[in-house]
Amino acid sequence: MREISNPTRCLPGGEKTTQLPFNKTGFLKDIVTKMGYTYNSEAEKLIEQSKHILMLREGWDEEDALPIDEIIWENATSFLKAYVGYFDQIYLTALELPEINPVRDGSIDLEWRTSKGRLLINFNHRNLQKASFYGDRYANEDRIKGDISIKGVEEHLALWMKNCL
Amino acid sequence: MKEIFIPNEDHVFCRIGIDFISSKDYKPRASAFRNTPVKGNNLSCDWDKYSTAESSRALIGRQLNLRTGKPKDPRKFCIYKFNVGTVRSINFPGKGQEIEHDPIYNDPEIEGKPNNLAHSVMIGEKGDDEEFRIKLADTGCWAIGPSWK
Repeated sequence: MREISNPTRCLPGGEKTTQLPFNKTGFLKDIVTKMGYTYNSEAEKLIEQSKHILMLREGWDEEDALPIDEIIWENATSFLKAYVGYFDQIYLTALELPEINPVRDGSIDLEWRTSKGRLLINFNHRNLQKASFYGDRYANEDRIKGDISIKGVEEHLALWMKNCL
Repeated sequence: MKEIFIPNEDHVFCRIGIDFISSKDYKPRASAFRNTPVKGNNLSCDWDKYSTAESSRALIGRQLNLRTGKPKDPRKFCIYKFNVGTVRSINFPGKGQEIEHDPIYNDPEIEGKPNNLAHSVMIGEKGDDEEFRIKLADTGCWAIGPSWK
């Protein structure tokens, strides 16, 4: 374990930390922990802001849109939290955050559109155990489509997200 | 009122509520193209032979909000344009689309449901397929887009 002469150092973002003694793995872990915390709080903030969806009444689109049941919102946001956590812990990187959008038929979309690709995942009443999804890197490249369990993380989808969003 | 065949080279205007427009890239969200079970699969639109994007939007102000009974606010809608031939040629198993002229005429005119010679419908299954919803938006473009971008 290396000793250092100046233990106080600046982390990215300006925070200072003092660690004595330190090794390279500990220092990196400290950065990742702080960045992960900041990122996870962004995801939590997005989910908190999406709670307005639960207040939408019938006709919220000025026509005949249905309200969104809490179970649908729970499924969508729990799913997002699971994948955010997976990226944080396994890939040590941040998952691009989607839009969380209510749909007229009472379902919820998680929709990603980045410069690299797009992904749409829909949570609805027809199947409360699974969500249906489609993604590509535009022009039908690297298409991915199907149904996915709302519980846990499916690695093939997480890997697609990492490479294509 | 007689229905007329809409040629492939013509266009139709669809209204998109501002709640269905992405604040990130100002494009329609996929949620814009999914109707309620009550409304079914048909998407109302206006034929550009008998309307402009501006008149299509203005007509919204003569329709009533079903929930409040008050006139809708046209400022809360943008107008998306589709080429009729492009929509008809969408090659999706089970998701073929047709656009038919469906003029609205009542005498006397019904309050909140104004007569509309341009009214048409995009007929065909749209929901339950995320790929279709994303790609339907790809086939169109803004005629009157969001003013805040």
